[in-house]
Amino acid sequence: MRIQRFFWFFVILLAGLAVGLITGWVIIPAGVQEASTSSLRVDYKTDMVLMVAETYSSDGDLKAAMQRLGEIENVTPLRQVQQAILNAQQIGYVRADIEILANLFQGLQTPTPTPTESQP
Amino acid sequence: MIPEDFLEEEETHRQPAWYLLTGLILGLGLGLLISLVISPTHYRDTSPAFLNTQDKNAYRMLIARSYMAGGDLPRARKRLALLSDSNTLDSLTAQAQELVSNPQGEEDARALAALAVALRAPVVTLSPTTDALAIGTPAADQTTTPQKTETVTSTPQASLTPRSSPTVQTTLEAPFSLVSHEALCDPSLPPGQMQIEVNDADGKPLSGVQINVAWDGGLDSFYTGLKPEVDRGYADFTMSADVIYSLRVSDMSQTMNGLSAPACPTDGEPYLGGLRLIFKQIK
Repeated sequence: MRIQRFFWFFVILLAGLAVGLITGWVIIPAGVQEASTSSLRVDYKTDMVLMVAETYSSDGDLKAAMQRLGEIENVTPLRQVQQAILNAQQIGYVRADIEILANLFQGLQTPTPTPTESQP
Repeated sequence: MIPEDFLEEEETHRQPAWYLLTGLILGLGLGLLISLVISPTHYRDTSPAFLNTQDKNAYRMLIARSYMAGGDLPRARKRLALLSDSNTLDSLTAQAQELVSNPQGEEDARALAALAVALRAPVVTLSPTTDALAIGTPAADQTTTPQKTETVTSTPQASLTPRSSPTVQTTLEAPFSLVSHEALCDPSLPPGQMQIEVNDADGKPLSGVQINVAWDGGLDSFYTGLKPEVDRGYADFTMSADVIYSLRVSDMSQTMNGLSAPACPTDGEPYLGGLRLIFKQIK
């Protein structure tokens, strides 16, 4: 009798475990929107970098562009844009878009003048 | 003497199967602990629709800035669709409203509001042979050769960035007409306040409608819906004394001239009153 009880106890425990795992790994993540931009698929990330590049090509604000790139992913801006260009070529972006990305890439490569202390 | 087996059997019949409930609760608790705490789900290769609120706002902001930079509305529209907002216009307006309270976010708020306005305008697609009839700024990349366009979806397949189609797209916005114009003489209101309410043809408040106010030596542009606590179609502007203003609701409406803050009579010295203007979209 006791063996039978233990058997059914473990069967029901395993069933509960399975329900708990499915709930936590499948049901709850499907309903909750908690992903960050760094977890986006590569083509979406590339499009985000392109958006930053489009804005940069209009306002020329390199500092703001770098800040926006930093919000997308914790990678150096230069590497991020470089990767975006490679992805854009692979995905099949039109030339105009790749040029916009390249423009930002060039801007990032240009050394920014740092203010020096004025000498008396 | 009663045999022990008999007692145990009797007990089993009388008592509910608590050990099964205990097993179920333990299993469920253990499963949730593992799946939510010890080894939670890591998001990978997701779509923008699954972003958290903060990152969705950042994504929306990038779209608005990009739209302001290039003016490519179809592309902005496709990008916004990726966020799967229940109401894109409301999301844009709400975000603009959050930013407008911060002086540093004013420019961003304008970008969001401008995109909301552009999205609200109905899109009329003309054939390429009617270029001469196009009004307004056509979408970017008209000169590009037809290219492969593909809407980015959440299906796990490579997708291209949304591009504008080579067809000429023109936005035509229905104009608004003034339905009510009254002077406000209420000392509890700020002096010289011009209150504007914009409704659609059915009388429902319209947010994100651009209002342009001009006066001698000045020009201001703002949007309805940035004070949703008053009304979704509400906007206000502070007039100065003895200044004549012109006002236009959206680009397609007629300009109203000769607006000024009225002097409200009181027992003592008259005070600067306000105006209340209500506009309705013409069908």
